[in-house]
Amino acid sequence: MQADWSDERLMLAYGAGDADAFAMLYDRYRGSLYRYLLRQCGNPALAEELHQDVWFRVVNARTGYEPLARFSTWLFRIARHRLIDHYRKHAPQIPAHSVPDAADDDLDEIGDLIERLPAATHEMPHVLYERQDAAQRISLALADLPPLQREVFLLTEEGGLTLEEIAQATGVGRETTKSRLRYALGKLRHALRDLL
Amino acid sequence: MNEVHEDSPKDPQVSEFYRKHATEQPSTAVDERILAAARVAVADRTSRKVPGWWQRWRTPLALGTTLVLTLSLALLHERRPVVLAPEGRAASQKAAVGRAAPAAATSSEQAADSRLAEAVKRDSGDAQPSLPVEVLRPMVPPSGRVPAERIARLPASNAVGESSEAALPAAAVPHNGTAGAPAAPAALGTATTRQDAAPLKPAPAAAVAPPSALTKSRPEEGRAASDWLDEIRALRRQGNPEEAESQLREFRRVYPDYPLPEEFRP
Repeated sequence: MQADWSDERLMLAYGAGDADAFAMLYDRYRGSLYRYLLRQCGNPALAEELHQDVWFRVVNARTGYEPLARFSTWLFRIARHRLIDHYRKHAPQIPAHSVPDAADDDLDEIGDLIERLPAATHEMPHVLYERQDAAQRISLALADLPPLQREVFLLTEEGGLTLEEIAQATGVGRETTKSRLRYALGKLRHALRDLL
Repeated sequence: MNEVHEDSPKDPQVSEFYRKHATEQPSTAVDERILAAARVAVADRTSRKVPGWWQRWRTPLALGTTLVLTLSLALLHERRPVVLAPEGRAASQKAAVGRAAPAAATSSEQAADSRLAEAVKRDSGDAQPSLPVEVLRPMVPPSGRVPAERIARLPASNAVGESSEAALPAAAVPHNGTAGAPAAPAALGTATTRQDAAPLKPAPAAAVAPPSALTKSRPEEGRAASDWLDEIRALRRQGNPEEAESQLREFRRVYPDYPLPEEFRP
């Protein structure tokens, strides 16, 4: 019966004390949220840690939850903020030229920060090219994308967010988002052209 | 899940390829930790919020108990007999006499005279020849009728005193209720306005008090002679001979013809 419920209704039911509603909601988004985080940070262990933190935040926010937006938009916004927190916290480990100002709250500079993040070592193209299956090829193609373009693509594919929702979540204009998505799709098509 | 706006850039082949091959999942350990935390959070909240039956019902129970007690007390008060027990009546009479004393120094005498006058009127007249003995007993000595010279003496007294006498039964004669209280000022007012009037006859003296008040106060007014004597005995037993003597003098003033028992004779 709960399988037919909307995400928002499930979250409200969980806020009212229904643990099964949360299990249903978690089952719907566990994979997509994890992949979003994994593609963004490039480290499975870190992705699992971030994944767990995001869901803990959802649990803690259950009583104050209001369905002002779609649940997926709310969830991936939390995930994005968690990623930014992670980037800020580990800014010293990022090469100095990659971090303009880790303490700056300005969204553009956060975007720059994400833009300049290096890909994880095991996601580097020369590592991934050694394995030639499709999954690795797509991982390679995504890792090769600029982070902001990759973010828009992942929010579209994993989060199911619209351009407006992505624009709102990332703090940029709709046209900017649209442009980033167009570039991302074009680069992916080019990288995967022999598999499509 | 995948809602894309119409003008949103699309590449169905890329999207399909991505979804087909992007199959990474979090480990089951992470899943279990998250689900356990979610259940614990809800369980904590539930255990905190659900009160015991006592906490849930204590307010209605308290309200119900208060209501039952209030109703019981109200019903008991309503059903309590109006006539006080003899000792209670005597005590309340004494208290009332004490309260009225400053206002009217000779209240007892005046009240007694007034009662006497009323009794005489009732006795001498043919209106109520069959008046119960219990009513007359406190007012009229058991010897029977009041002597004619006493009847004649009553209206011949000081005018002020007489008019006050006529008024005072309502004020000075103790009542156990509040019926006498409203009557007192009116009666006193009547008395003061009659200071220059001619000597009153016994009948008008009794008629000064409102008939309803008179009727209502009749069973309660004054102490019965036997009760009074009992009180005097009690005072003697308690070692208060002065007060007993004073009460006896008062008694003799009110009931001059009452045959005193041996112990009270000089």
